[in-house]
Parts: sequence; C-alpha cells; structure tokens
Amino acid sequence: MTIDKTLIERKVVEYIGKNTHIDLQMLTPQTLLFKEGIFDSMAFVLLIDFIEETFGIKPGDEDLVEENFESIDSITRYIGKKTEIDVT
Amino acid sequence: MNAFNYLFENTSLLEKNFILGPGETISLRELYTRSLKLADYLSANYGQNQNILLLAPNSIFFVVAYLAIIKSGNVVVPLNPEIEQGNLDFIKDKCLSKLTFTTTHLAKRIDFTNDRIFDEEMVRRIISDNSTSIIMTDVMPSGQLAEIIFTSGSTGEPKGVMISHGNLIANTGSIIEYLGLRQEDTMLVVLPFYYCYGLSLLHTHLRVGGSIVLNNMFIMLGGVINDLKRFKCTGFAGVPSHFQILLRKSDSFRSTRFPDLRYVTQAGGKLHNAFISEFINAFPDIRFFVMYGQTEATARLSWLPPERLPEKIGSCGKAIPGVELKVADEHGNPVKPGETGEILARGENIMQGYYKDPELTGLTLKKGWLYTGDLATVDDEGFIYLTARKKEIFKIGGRRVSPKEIEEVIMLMPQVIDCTIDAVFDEILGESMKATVVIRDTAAVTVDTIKSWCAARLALYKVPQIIELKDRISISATGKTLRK
Repeated sequence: MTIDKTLIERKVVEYIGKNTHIDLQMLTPQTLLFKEGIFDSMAFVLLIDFIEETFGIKPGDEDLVEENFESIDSITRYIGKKTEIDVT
Repeated sequence: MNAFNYLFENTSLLEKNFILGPGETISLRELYTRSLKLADYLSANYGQNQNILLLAPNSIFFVVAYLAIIKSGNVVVPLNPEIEQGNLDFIKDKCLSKLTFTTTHLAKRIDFTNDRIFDEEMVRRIISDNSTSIIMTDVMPSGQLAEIIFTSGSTGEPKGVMISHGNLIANTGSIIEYLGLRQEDTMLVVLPFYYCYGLSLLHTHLRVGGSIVLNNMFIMLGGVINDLKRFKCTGFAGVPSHFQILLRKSDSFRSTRFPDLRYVTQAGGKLHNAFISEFINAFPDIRFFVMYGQTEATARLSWLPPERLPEKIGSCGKAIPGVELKVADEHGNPVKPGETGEILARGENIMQGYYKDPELTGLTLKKGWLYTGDLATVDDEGFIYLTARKKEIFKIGGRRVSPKEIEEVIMLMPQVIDCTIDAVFDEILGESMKATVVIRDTAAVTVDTIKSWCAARLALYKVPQIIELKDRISISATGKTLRK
C-alpha cells in the first residue's frame, strides 16, 4: 500500500507555505523552488527534517540531488517513490 | 596596475578550461577575450569610475561582468541576489548607480528603477560584436577602487567596504603563497562570489591558471560529493556550516575517499574544535587550513599551517604574508599571552575605508591599523585565538546578519513592545537566531505571524528560527534591553 500522492502533495505544499511564508497562490507544482528564490539552503535542511519526520524517509546522499527537490512535483514524486519502496 | 592585468598576467593565453562542468565551461583564453571585449564596451560608452551593480548566481555571466567592470576602470558592486528591495534601494541611492548587470530572471523579480540593465542576452550581443574598440590604459594607481562590497553593519544599514586594485592584488598574492596554489589546482566553489571569501577563490585560481568548479547547490550533498570526485578537485573552501553539514548530515562523506583532494580551507567564523578533530581524523591526508579574515581586509588576514593544527587547535594562526597582526589593549599596545585584546591589522590588503562614511572609517582605520572588532588572545608563540566579536554581528550559516536589522523589522509590528535577537549555537548553521519578543496582547500575535512578518520583509536566512513570546521586558541598569 502506498500513501496517496495527493496527500503527499498537500502536506508538502502546507509545509512550504508555513515555512517560507509565501503566498501559496503564487506556487504551482512546477515552480522551481531554488531557482525562483523560494527555498534557500537553510530552508532545504529543514525540509529534509520534515520529510524524515512526516514520511519516515531519511534521504541519503545519493538522493540529495537537484532533480529530486527542485519543485513540489519532484518532491512529491520523490516521496512517493520512497514510500512505495518502504511501505510496500 | 589594473587588477585584471595582474590576474591574467601569466594565464590569458591558456586554452585549458578555467570553469569546469557540470554546467557551462570556459577556457582562460576565452574568459580573457570576452571580459576584455565587454570592458572595452563599458569604457567607450560609460567611461570610468562609475559604480556598477552586479547581481547573479556564480556563473560565467557573473565572472565576465565582474572582470570587465574592473578592467574598464569602473567599480563593481557585487550583491546577494536574495537582497531585500529596501536594502537594494539604499545601496543604489548611495552608489548613484545607473548600470546593473543581472540575469533576466532576477530583473523580473527585483525593481532596478531606472538602471540600464545588462542581462545575459545583452552581454552576448556586446561580446559578439566585431566593431573595433578603444585601447584602454593599463596604468592605474594602486589606490584606485576596484570594488565595493556591502556587508551588514551593526547599525542595521549595509556598509560599503572599498577595495582597491592594490588591495586585491596584495591579498591574492599572499593567499597563493601560503596555500601553495598551482596551475594543477582545481577548486570546488560553493561560496557565492558576492562574498569576499568566494571572490578570493576566483582571484587566486585565475592568477595561477588553475580551474574552478561551480556548485551553487551545496545542500544537495550527493552533487557536492560527486563533483569533488568527478572533477578531481584538489581544494574545497567552506564556512563552518559547510563542514558541519558534511560531517553531520551526509551519510557517505566520511567514508568516501577523495584521492585528489589536497587541502580544504575554513574561514567565515569559528568552527568548533570537535568538528575540526572529526575532519582531520577522518581525512588524515587532506591538509586542513584554518583561516581568519574580513571583507575589510579584502578577504584574508591569518592562517594556521595544517602541520601545527593538532597542537594549536582552536587557533586561527598567525598573519599571512604581507600582513602584520597584533592583539592589542585599548591603547593599541600588544596584550600579554593569555590576555584578551582586539585584533588590529596592517598591510596592503586593508580596505580604503567605508564608502561615503568617513565617521565609521575613522573609527575603524586608525593610524594605519584596521580595528577588526574581533576579540582574541595570543599564546606564547604568538598564535591567535578568537574569543568573541566586539561588534554586534552574527554569522548565520557563514552570512553576516545584524541583529539590529531584524529587531527593527519586528519592532514595526504594531503589537510588539520590544524585541531582542540573540545568537544561539546551532549544530548545522553555526549560529542561529532567537528572537525574544515582548507583545501587548498574547492572543493577537503568534510565532507564525511574526515569522511571516519577517519573511515578507527580510531574506529567508534572516528570519529567526526560534521565537519566544513574552509579556514582560528585561532592562539592564543602563536602561538597555538585555542581550545575553
């Protein structure tokens, strides 16, 4: 069984909204979080802690590459992939 | 001598790549040619001695614009692309800038009012234009300004550190000497070029004809470790939080072997001894250089030879070549070993002063000495140990933050009576900020509303991580709010 993708996305969006204090209307699932200046490295460290606490995933170094975290879409995809592996 | 000529003196014809992948690459020869072309254009169309803003992530665009502005006899003002609009407006007004180099992307987000904008496309067009250019003079007094680097001032307003061509040349030469840099060296650059430490990596590797690898996403640790190995980097430079993250957050860094990595440098604040020991135990073959410096000294002031590190752990070493350092009492006399004093510095690398601020310059540069505001002790052999900062500036993830600036933003909230920002130890960031906020009505304000208020007005790294709400104020005997 896997966690519902929409649930993952909702939690990620909620987290980003709460911690970057940006207007969520400005965000789309494809918005580039680093390139658009929404995330800096400190916010990212906290995001990793959030992922660990909420989804029980501890991203290893090989996971810490831009493709996995550049947008809400990619973060959701990454968590989905990992939870599938972990929870199934 | 123009610092540009110094940097390219022995390297302008080299075909080897100066900037290596994973993204864009460029050879030394091409970098020289492009920068010269853009410098010609600037000189012919805008003359000299103008302050020109530069906002861009580390990239070929940044490096070409930076070098061209310096070569053209104008003054480059590199700024953090995350700068708040208010601080940008303040700097623009102060510098009377009319020209800005920035990316198309940033130009959409930031309001540069009436500035003439040079973006990537504009620079590409100028460089590819084949019209003949004027011949620029290479003669330049060493006190001529090359750049103004803005840093957080203790008043909360940014202060502009004026660096001359002579300053830049002097500090570059010293660093190359004590690090023993060579043409074979490749540096992994994770430090931004708007910061003096980052710029020193650019200057030194240009001068020796080395190479740099640009990695603007340090936090993607997998990418950092890959880059170090893939591009056979011989050097890595970081602030305390870089080393703390590598040692604490990475699951593979310590067990990875880096056969090409000859040395690492650490500056930008004090890294706790435990982390230094951990690093040198994990990598006994990698030379670890602890260094100390300030923007006011172009970048570097002291270094600790790696051979002495195990017995002098906690020390930031001694003066670099060409610099004189002393730890002095309030009369300017050297303190005895074990006593605390302020670090004073003298040398060709010391800034020309703070831009349009003679009062602050007068307080900082006295009788040829730079008063660093950093407190330290010395041991019997003259090794310096930093103890604290006299000036009230925090280093959050290596970036200077004025608590006063944050306090002023929070104090603008109508429900807030008082606010004090303290630095607390953070395992990852080095220091993080704690705001103690005294409010009128505890029901009207929450930790989240304060964080949102700050985030709307400050760059994200300046938003306090910890906020404590209080309904009473602590006042010292002198009437000041207490800062621990």
